[in-house]
Amino acid sequence: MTEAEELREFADREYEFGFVTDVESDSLPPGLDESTIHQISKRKGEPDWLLEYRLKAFRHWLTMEDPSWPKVERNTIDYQEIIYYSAPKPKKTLDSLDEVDPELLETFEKLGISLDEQKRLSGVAVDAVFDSVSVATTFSDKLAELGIIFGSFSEAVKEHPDLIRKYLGSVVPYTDNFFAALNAAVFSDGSFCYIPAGVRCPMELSTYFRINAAGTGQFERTLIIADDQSTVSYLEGCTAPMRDENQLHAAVVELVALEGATIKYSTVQNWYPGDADGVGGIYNFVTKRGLCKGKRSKISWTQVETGSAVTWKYPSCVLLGDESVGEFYSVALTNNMQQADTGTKMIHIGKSTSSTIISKGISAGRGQNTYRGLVDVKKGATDARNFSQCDSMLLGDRCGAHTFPYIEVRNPTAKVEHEATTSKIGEDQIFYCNQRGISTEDAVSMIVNGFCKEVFSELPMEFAVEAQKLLAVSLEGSVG
Amino acid sequence: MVVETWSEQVQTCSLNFDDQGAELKKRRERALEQFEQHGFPGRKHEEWRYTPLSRLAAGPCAPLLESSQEIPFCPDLPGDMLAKVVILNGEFRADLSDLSRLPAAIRIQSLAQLRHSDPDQLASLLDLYWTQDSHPFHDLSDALLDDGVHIEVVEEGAKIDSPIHIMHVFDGQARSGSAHVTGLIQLAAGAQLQLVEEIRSVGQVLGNLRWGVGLDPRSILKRVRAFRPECASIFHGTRVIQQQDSRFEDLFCSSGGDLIRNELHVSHEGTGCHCDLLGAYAGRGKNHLDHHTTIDHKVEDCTSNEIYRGVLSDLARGVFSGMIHVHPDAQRTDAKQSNDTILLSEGAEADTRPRLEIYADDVKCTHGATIGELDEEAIFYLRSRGVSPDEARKILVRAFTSEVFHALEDRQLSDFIADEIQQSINPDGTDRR
Repeated sequence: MTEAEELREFADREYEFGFVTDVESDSLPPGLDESTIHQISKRKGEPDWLLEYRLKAFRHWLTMEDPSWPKVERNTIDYQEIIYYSAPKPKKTLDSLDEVDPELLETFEKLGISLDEQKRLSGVAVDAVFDSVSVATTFSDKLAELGIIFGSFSEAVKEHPDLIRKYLGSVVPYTDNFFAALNAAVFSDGSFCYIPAGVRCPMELSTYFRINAAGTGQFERTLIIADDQSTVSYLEGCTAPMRDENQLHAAVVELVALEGATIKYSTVQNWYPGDADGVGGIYNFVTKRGLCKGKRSKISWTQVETGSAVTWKYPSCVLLGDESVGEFYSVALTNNMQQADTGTKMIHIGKSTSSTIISKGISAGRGQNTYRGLVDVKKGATDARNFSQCDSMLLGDRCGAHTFPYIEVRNPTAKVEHEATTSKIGEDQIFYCNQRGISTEDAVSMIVNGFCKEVFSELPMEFAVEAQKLLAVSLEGSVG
Repeated sequence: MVVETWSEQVQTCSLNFDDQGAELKKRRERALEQFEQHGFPGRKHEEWRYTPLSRLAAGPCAPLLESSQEIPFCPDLPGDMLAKVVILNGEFRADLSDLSRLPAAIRIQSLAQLRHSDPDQLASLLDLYWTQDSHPFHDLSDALLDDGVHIEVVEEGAKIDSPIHIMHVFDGQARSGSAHVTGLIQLAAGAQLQLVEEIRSVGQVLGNLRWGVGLDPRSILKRVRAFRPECASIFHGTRVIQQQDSRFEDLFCSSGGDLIRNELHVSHEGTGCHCDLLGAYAGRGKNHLDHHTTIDHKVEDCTSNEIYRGVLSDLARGVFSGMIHVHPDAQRTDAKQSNDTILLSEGAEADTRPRLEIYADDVKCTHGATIGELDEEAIFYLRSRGVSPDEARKILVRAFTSEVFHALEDRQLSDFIADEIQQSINPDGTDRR
């Protein structure tokens, strides 16, 4: 088989997780105006201040323009065609997993994330967001013993309004960008996590997001607060069923790390990428930002992006506290007609702050992969340190790999380094493996996994395995 | 408000030209229209986000007055030059130039001459290098197209050994203002030429320079650009079109300047091309030094090498925005790009954007960028040998910047430029402790 044929075969692979769960849902009609926001707020039984916040965000959103600067081509989104609220019909309060809709549980099983299994085997507490409402939260009681609050955003609004009020929008204000404003106006649900001072969270916290009901956009909001000297590792993974029309996913994630706190946020993203001709697929426009507020705090982003038709996000760190640390590890893979414009922003404000950026981009098929990152050293950021490394790998001659770093330094004591390389898998490397009885496919997978090793080693163990599998599936046949 | 005065001024001047060629006239009108519409772009514009054009928009827009016979300020560059071309306040000055030793293989004439004798050829040359896209400085150059220089090496395989000295002088002593110069260079197949381009200015001026360079197969052009101290606002744009196996070497040196924007666009149209883009710059005071380079690798087997190094003291700001664009068919491209900056003071700022855009898989592309201060250990090493702190810094700065001069064969000239760069580091502003 020639290289091109092999490539084609790999590229023709169907999306494995494409299925639709048939759950009755209680939705608002499509469209967006102030009454939509009133209704969302009412259905969720929210306090007035939150409704006010939503309305302010909405009014600001109306003054903004849909941005066009990223290096991606996409259809314009009709914001009046989106259903802004969709919840599986409320049955009764759920105390245990047994009460969850069996069909729903089956869906999770197909994705290989059976809550029961996870609960028993891996010690991972899962807050499963099914469309817009959190339907099952496990381990909450166990976490509650330590004073850790982990649950759905809407519950937190009711139970911990002070914390929400204090931190909501403090890292990503609704004025930040178009999609952050939209999210602030219509966010449906999400996760909230608070780790009290001095507590080391004993397990990985995890949420699986799925977009399900046809035509629903999902607008989650995640807020994680790590109090003084606490530590938490949060995992987020996504798979979405096959759809033909483009679906928008505009989430906001805010992290706040106080003095000495550490937050590790890992994502494996595998939304439906659209078919080989670029029809359908998810638009993943997410605003993620962490604030290292206290001294010696640390925020670490790790992401493995293999899905979505268009991925466009920049998980960022604002290094405000002295000696705070920001990290960004990323693997982004684009195949077929997928496009990704992703990277990070490291904003150094405090003294002796340091940041590391490791980005690995893999392009196959006709995929376009762009790294765009900002390292900004402000005037007062004495002895700031940054190291960035952006490597790209091209598989095939119809894809593109682009690197657009922005480095702005206003302090002479800063040490900033950036390096980037672009390469392909050499025929000699494949030949070497073939000679030793390793199939071309395995060789490619092996080389790519080696290429991404620095990032995978940052992932929690169970995620690392999943990520490697995901990469192998997404890549199969893309190279010769 | 401000742009209005500019566009009024430009309109008045532009309509005074009595062009012969219809094409040239069309170009002028279109450029005028575009400039009136867009003016100077602001910070929201991605390509101009680091360039404070507001300084210019408020600056002098009137044309510069005719200057005296003498060429004022700064000492002459050393070296044995074959010929000298003087362009004073935008005007080719045959009386100040010296073209007596030119061999027959090379022809130099003023652009005004070409504009009168063959306006259609000029229009087609302009079309070749500058598209109709809106660009404030190119639009100004088109709208106010008057004079400049046209250099041709017409004999195939001609090797011109000593360099031609091109001196741009902007004299704003009598009255502040602006001048616009267009230069065209064409090398025949296998020809070789060296240029030393010098830019001097005094007073409040805006110098707007652009070059269109066409390199036929196997030709070699080596160019040194020296921006002398105390330069005012200078835009310097070059568009190079390289044919098969041609070489282009460019060395940019600048020791200060209020606002310098250096734009360089090299396009590899034939296989086996190579280009070297080297730059060394030093800024002090409120200098703003802005470098924008694009290399278009359009066909296979081409190589490029780019190194820009800057040293910034006081409140100076250095910007580097480099783009390597590898087109889908440009297999086996080998491109290197690096930008290193040293910040010597609290107020200095460096912004760098080394960009890669790659659409072919069998390529080697690397870029790197570093920003930092001088190595304290190296300074200590020198101090422990009796070198004063200021002197130690100067030595290190010289070592840092002169690395890009290695390509320059003329040692006398390279030493001279290195001296000028070294002198323009502000020793008072360097000691932040």
